[in-house]
Amino acid sequence: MANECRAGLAIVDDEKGLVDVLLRLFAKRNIRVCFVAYDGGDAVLKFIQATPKPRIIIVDYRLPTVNGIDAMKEILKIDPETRIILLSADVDIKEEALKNGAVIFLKKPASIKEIDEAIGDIVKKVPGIDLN
Amino acid sequence: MSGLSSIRIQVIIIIALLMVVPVLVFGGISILYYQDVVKHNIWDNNLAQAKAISALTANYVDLSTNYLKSIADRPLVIKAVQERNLSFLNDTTEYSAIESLEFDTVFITDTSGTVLSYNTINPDLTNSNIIGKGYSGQPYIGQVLKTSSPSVEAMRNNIDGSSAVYIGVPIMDQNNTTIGVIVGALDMNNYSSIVTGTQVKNSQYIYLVNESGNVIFHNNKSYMANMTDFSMLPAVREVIQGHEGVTEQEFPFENSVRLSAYAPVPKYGWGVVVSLPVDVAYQPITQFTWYLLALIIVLLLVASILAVILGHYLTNPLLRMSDATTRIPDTDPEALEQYLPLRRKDEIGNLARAFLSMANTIRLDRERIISARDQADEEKHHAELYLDIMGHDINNMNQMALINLELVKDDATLSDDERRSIEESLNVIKNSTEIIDNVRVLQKINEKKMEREKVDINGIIMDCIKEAPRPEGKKVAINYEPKKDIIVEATPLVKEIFRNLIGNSIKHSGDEVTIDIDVAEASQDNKKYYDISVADNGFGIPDGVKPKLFGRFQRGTTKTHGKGLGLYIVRMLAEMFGGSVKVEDRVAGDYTKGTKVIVTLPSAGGE
Repeated sequence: MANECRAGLAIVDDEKGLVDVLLRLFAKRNIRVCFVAYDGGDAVLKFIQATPKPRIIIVDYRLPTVNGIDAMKEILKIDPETRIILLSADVDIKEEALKNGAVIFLKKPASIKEIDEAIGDIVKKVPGIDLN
Repeated sequence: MSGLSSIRIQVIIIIALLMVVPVLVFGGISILYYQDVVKHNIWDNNLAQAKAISALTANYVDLSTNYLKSIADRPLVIKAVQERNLSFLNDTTEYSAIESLEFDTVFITDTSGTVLSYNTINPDLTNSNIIGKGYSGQPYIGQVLKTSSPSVEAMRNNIDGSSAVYIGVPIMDQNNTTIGVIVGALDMNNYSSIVTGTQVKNSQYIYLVNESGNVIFHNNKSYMANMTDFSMLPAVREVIQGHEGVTEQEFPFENSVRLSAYAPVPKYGWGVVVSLPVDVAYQPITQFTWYLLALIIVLLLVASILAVILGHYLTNPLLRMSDATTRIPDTDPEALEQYLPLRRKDEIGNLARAFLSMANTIRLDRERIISARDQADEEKHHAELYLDIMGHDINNMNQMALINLELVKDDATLSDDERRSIEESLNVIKNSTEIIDNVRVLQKINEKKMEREKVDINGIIMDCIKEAPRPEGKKVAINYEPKKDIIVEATPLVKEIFRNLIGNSIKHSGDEVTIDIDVAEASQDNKKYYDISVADNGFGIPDGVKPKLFGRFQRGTTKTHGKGLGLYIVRMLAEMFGGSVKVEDRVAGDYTKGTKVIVTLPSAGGE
């Protein structure tokens, strides 16, 4: 896994409108989006299949079948180096998310500035990370 | 419920005490009283016996004396003494000794005291012959010759030294001149059979003492052999002085303590003593005591049984009603009837019927309450669900709107009006998010599920400062000097107080805002508190608004809406944690210089 090409990020959210606007945002920031998934289970499958695999995944919590935290746990089992940003309106799950491997919790609605800062923080802490 | 805490056991104990204590008290008093009565009866009986024997003894001696007189007065006897007709006199003494029951020995003397005739049936004396011997020295002869009157002497007989009672009676001629004396020695066996024949009990002693305290008669004949001296005995000392009475005395001859009743025989200076070993004498007292104790034990048993029966009778209805009470939640009122004494006609029956009626009412009320509660729970659950969905979905929508607007805002071709419109729309999104957050906090406050714990206010303030919004284009300065050990007992919701206050200061101020946060110790009613103040140099709050500031959201005060919810939450949380909140002007008297909100919270350390 460490030798595979790693770049960009992925978006996991069941709200298509939000996914679209995030895609536009990241397109504007020249950040590659490896894949988009609308459910936790779908996200895990796409993560396994993705080439290259995303360095950062932005995950919502409430998803149709497998929630964001469970999906995150599975992805981290596959690749612990993946950085997860949990973007959720459920502030109550913040502690659980951070405890289970999320590096940043963003409460919806998060501003572009907060999203940029979150991604920037990760980029700063992980040398050589490529999101393009 | 068991042991002493059971009302049944308590009632049984109380009833048992009420019945047993009187039995014990009156039983004890009765034993003491009747022991004394029986003791006096025993004393009286023994004294009566002594007095009866005393009277009998006197009569016996008098009768014996009269018998001798009747012989002495016979003309043939007088003539035989005058003529020294020894043959006739021998017949006379022989007849008297053999035929009379009172005497075992009879003899006749002349005026010199010389024995003319002598006869005895006493086997100890049959070999003796005192005919021709002078007996004028014996008091029962010398005294008679001197006074011509009968003489009775209790003394040792001059043959074997044993005790004997001699009666001497003068034989007088027609001129009343004493010509001789007829003497009779009392047959003590005959006396004994009369005195002791029917009255002597086990170990009872009956004895007769003379004026010097020597034994004349004793039903233990060993004391008669040499007229044992009993004068050292208290009863004997008393009786020879003419007193009668009863005493308990040591009997040194047999090393025993005996109850002795004594009565004098005044005519002869003698005394009669009836004595019994104390344990034998007082046996009736012991027996009586045992009878009474047995009676008391039987009464105690009866009292105990009655106490148990009464206890059951009195407490059963209560216990059954208590049992029924515990079954009210799970049992139909009809099924409760088996536990209740409904057939009784008394007050307890009335109580049981009232209880059943009450149980029916409780049951119906309970069903109504449960139904209402279930409905309320369901409504609450729905409300929570709606709020949750609404909050989540609105924030998702807000997220989309926020990013979209912010993307548009970056467009350099926008006019100022367009940019202002976008800014206002962004503010609307922030306000709606804030309202949702506050409503969620209120929901958590109302749930009251969170356990209180020790919370470090210093850490909370530091977090709030870190997380405080810093709007673009606005200079925000927050001054706070961290302090250690500011611990209060609260829930994590306490953070909402300071998040709201700092947020308000930032929101209600101009392009630059300075916020000063300070913590000071305070004391109320000897309890330690912390005054945490958040002061800003914002727009301030007019005096007319201040009194209603923390109650604006309260229903009924004004039209309810989401704005102002934050300060309402501040007040609710402060009061929930046992504290308070107040608002002042940062500069006293000039609200335009900014606001100072002081939150007071009790220290977790108490005093």
